[in-house]
Amino acid sequence: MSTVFAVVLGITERQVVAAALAGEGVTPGLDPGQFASQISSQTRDPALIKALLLIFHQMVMISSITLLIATFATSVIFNVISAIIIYICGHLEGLARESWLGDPSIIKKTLLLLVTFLIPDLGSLDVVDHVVIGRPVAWAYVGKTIGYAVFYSSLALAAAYCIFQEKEI
Amino acid sequence: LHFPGKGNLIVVTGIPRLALRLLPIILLGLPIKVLMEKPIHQYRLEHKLAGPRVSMDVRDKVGQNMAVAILGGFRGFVSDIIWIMQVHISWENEIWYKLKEGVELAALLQPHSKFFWDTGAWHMAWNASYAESINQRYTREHRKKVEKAWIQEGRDFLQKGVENNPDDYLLYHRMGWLYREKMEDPAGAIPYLKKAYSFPEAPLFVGTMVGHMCVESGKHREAWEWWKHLWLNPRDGESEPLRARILRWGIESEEKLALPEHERFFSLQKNSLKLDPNR
Repeated sequence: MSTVFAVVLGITERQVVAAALAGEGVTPGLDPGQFASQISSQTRDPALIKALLLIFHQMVMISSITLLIATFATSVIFNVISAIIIYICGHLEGLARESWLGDPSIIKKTLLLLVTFLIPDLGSLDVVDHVVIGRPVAWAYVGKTIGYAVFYSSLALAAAYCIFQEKEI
Repeated sequence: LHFPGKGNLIVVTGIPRLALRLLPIILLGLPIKVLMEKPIHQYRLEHKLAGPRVSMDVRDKVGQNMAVAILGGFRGFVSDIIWIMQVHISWENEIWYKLKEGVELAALLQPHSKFFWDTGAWHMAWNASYAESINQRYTREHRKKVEKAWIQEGRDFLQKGVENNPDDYLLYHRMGWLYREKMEDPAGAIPYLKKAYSFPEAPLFVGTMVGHMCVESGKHREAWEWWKHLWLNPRDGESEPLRARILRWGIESEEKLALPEHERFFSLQKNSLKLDPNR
């Protein structure tokens, strides 16, 4: 997927740069050459690597949870649907954690506790939108989130290993 | 549990054994997971990486399916869809209230995307205001009033954009441009253009715009000082023709101010350029 992305990006860059050098869509007051070099620097932005790395680790996390579910699920459909639901819940985990800290109700707190503890925070790996519009994302943040993803994936895989060992094949 | 000579006293098999194995993962691993999330969450809050909350109001506007997509991490995708399906089509059909709603929603979902603020403000202050200014359904007085109201809407919208993106020159420049072109207030444009030019990545024409706004608003002393500032602090990429133009504008300001010979600055700089400033 990353290779396809790089190829599409490269082709698009060439087309847009050629159009800019021909004077199309250039910001008034800017030299076409300067405008073209701005386009090239944006398409070759190293921050894209951060976004790709985080997407990859997000996928690793979801795959490891899916694998965990597969060790006890008997239906493929159940497995797929669970993965989709976890993907959606994973983006809401941050919200659940905030509510867990703020909500006084014991029943709600218990439910939110389960979500907070079991579901991974996929939202923290979602920085593509920010990278695309040129907002800075520190390598330190990328490192922390990758560490978090590796840790959570290891937990899920360890649990999957334990369950699978008990399984009669 | 195995005791020598007595054999196994307790044998754990099946589900209880599994529970025993999973217990350390749950008791140790999951609290560590929550602790690891804390600094990540803190960073996201500090650097505004977490998007705005999806309130009931937003949910009502986007519909239930789109709300789920937003919650599921497809915020950028949803805002693009809203832009294409609602904003662009409303623009083509000239349904301005619907356009405004879509523009605000897209910007709310992606508050750090300058495109939504910039183009949204342009739709309101330029397209909607002009369309309403020639709308024959209104009386002449009402047309003027509605036109002004749309320009104000565009200005207010852009102001929100500036507040959400204070670290970029683009929206400050657009605000200056709006003040000049639509509000006919070149003096009001000056602070925004100056702010825009304070960013090193701002194009050179933003700097010269500041001087022109000073001239247009009759602030010739300020214009002269600004030309001097540009002259003394050249930026990378400044060409000789541009320097010559700054020199010419500086001399014009000195003439407007009727400065005495000893106070003049630009008149003394004429020989420093190869190009003729009068050209």
